[in-house]
Parts: sequence; structure tokens; C-alpha cells
Amino acid sequence: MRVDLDAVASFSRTGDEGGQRAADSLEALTGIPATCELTRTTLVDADGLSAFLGDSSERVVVEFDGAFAGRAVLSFDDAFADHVTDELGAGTGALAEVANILTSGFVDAWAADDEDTIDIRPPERLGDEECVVRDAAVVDDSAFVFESRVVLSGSRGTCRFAVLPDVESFVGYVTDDDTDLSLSDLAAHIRVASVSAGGVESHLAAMTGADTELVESHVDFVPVERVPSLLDDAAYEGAIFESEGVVDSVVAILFDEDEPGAVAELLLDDPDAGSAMAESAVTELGNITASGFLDEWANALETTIDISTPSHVRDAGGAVLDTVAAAYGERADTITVVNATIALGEDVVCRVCTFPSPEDADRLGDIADGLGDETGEDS
Amino acid sequence: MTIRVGVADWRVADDDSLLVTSGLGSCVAVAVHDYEEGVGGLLHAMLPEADGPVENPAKYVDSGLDEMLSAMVRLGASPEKLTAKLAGGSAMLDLSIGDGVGARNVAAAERALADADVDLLASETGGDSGRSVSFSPTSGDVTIDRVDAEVLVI
Repeated sequence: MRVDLDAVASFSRTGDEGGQRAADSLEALTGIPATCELTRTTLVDADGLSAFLGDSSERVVVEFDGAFAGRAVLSFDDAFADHVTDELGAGTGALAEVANILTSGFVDAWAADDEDTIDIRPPERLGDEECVVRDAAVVDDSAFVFESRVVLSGSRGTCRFAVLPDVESFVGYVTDDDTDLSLSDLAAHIRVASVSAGGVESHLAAMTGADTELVESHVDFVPVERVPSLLDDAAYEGAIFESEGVVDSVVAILFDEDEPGAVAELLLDDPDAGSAMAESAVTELGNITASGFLDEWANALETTIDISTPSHVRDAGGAVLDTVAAAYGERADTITVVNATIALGEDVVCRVCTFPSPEDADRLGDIADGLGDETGEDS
Repeated sequence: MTIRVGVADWRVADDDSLLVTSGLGSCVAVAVHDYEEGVGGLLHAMLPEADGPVENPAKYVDSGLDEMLSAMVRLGASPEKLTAKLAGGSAMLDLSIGDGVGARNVAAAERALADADVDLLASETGGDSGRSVSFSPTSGDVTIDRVDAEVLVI
């Protein structure tokens, strides 16, 4: 099974343009400089969808219909809500107006080459989240989400902005674009993410003895310049590998520690073992974790995948991913990223970001097929 | 006010705003300043040179700088009075791909500034760690933050 990633790149770009237009519209409305810091097209298991809808008390849903149909869910943090309300002076109506403007900005990108119009309904407070999730679970229990984060300068307030297209509308859009894309085939990618995340969790549990919890897994299709936004600027420690074989890739296994040294503490008996020993232990943990799920990929394709000597890093998450993105940036405009987030106890979170090379990313479908065979699922 | 500059993005200001960008790995930040007019611009570019017309000029050092300099002139800056400071272009990962893009970004920035007759006053580039950069168009100071390191002002 191969998926036309050029087609994925095309709608990922349209989503990115939509996020930028939304930020520009907000800036025009409020007069406050606004930046779109993250726009990604994400494929997520329906069970994990709610994590993309934000959790603030100020959430608004805007439905739209026509050439492109679906709904936008906007989650405003307190700083964003306060700043916008102050600026527009319209009380609670200000957020509804902002939701309307952001959604209009986003959908304009989808209507730009289409004679049809897109009608936007009045914004409403988000009531039943389960209802939104149910309507959006589109193909084989997987959902597509266009997620943007629009940040207001000054206050640092952020609006998480998730657009969930209706499946029929989305298929129609893709077909109209003369692309050969099967959403069902694309949805199979989520199996690679979930099986890999399960493997990572079990390896981390075995190596550290910590209580582990798989927080979420998903696949992003993201313009290269948006890749650094997938992680924040907190300091992460971990290891970076390159894999070589039927799927060349870069694998980043990064630990976000509440306290520096928390990961090494899980691994070393001697708390005074020294920084070199701690570094080596963290790198080895990354090595075994990466080997674990890459071996599963190799088995699914009945081949082998070699991994390089790891680079140890302790740096801002965004800067680490910036380096990976720039390395791929001259070969592709859009990158596929397989993500997993695993909690180790209460103090450590492990983020695994796997970047198949742009030339090999379409082999994820073949891996999904192989994993389906192994687990007895239909592919 | 703090104004965020994203990746493959630039912003200009002529007031006491602070232009801020973070997550610089092999990317470069180019801060350009007209001290007399108090006009400044900060570019966060990801790749060295555009191969022909591109959708987002700010993704590349050369086309991004061109675009930002034009915006600064529209804001009142004089092309002959511009100076620049440069940060970023690290090589924190030992990757076989990318062909040393950090160093190439730095070289592209130096070349593009020379082509535009903008004096490069100071640089803090290379190395193996990431950077966050803030730039004051009022003072011309560029402040560089790293994980586990002292703050540096150039």
C-alpha cells in the first residue's frame, strides 16, 4: 500500500495557509500582532482526538458548510481571552467574534480556488465534546485534524484552533484536486504510530522499572518550517539516531524532566555517578527504545533496519527539531512525523518523534500492512 | 511589547517592541537595524538560498533578507545606514543529511548582507547548542539565550 504523499503535502499546505490567514485576520481585527506558530495536519486515533481540542474553560465551536464542511473548535487560554476582551471591549461576545474571524480566515484558504462558497454558522459554546469527537471520527476510527496555534504578541496568549473536516467533504476536496489519495490507506498510518508507541512504552517500562503510561500517539504531516513547533522550548535530554534500510529516518527520543537528571536517576543506582555516566545511560535508554520499534518496522517489511551511533542532546526541544527540519528542508516542503508521548512516573515525559525521509515516507503504508498481518488485523 | 517571530518569518518594528525568536538550531537569526530612525527587523530563516521564486521567501536567508529590508525601508529606514547582527547556525546533531546546513546558513547570511551593503557588526554563530534570540530596535542589542549557559548580549 502506497500513499501519494504529494497529495498529503498539498492539503497540509492549504491547512498551513489557512492557519496563517486566520492569524492575519485576527491581527487585522484586534490590531495586536498575531503569529501562527503551529499548523499541522494530524491523523489521530478517534480515542485520542479530545487531546487536540484543548481543555480551557473558554471553548467555542463554529460549524461551516458548502465547498468545505466541518467544524472548528477553538480553545482560548486565559491570557488570550483577557487580552481580546480588553482590546475589543465587547464582553463575552468578543471571543465569539474572534472565533468567527479565525474560522473565516482558515476556510478562505480552502475556497480560494473554488467558485462555491463556504457558509459559516454562528459560533456556539462547546457543550458536548463527545458529540464533536463522534462526528469527526471519519475513516477506520481515525480522524484528520488541522491544528493551528495562534499566538498574540505581548500577552503570549494562545488560541488552540482545531479544524475537523467532515469526511465526505474532505474526500470531495481531495478528489476534486485530481489527486490519487485513499483516506482509508492514509488512515492505516495510525496503526504504525500506535504499534510503535506500544513498543516504546514496554521498552521504557522494562528498562526503567517506572510506571509508564502511553499518553497519546499520532501522525503529523507538517510543512518543514512548522516542525520545530512540535516541541516547546523547554530543555529536553535524549538521543538522536539515524536509521538506514528500506526506510531511512531520523529518530528523536527526548525526555522532558521536571528536575534535571530525573531520567538518569531512574537508570543508575548511584546518585553520584557523574554526568558522563548519566549521559551514557540516557543515550543507551534511547538506543534500546529506538531499536525496539524500528525492529518491529523491519519485521513488518521482512528486512533489516540499521541504526547509527546516537548523538546525545540536552537542549531546547524546538532547537533540536529545527536542526532535523533544516536537514530535510532542501529535499521536501512537507514532512511526515510519527509521534508518541509516554509518561514515566510523575516526573518524566518521553517524546518520540520519528521522521521518515521524504523519499521513504510512503513506505509507512507498507509497514502498516505488515503490522496488520502480524497482529491479525485487516489491512 | 514582545513580538514573536516564527520560523521562516520576519517582523519589523519602529517602537520599543522586542522582537523575539526561539528554537534556533541550524537556522539563523539576522537582526538588521537603522539606529538613527529606530527601525529594526528580525529574520528567522531555515535554509541558505532560494532556488528561484518561492512561496514563502522568509524560509530562505537571501529572499527573506530582501523582503525584510524592503519592509524596513517602507517603515522609514535608510538603506545606506543599515547594520546587522547574526546568530545561530549551530551543528548540534551529527547527521549524515543536510550537508552542514548551519554553516551554509551563516555563509549565506554573510553573503546576502554584503550584497545589500549592510555592515555586519557582530556574530555569534556555530557551536553545538541551540539559541533563543531577542532584538531591541531601540538599542540595537541582540540578546542570546541557551540552555545551561549565561545570557550573551552582542
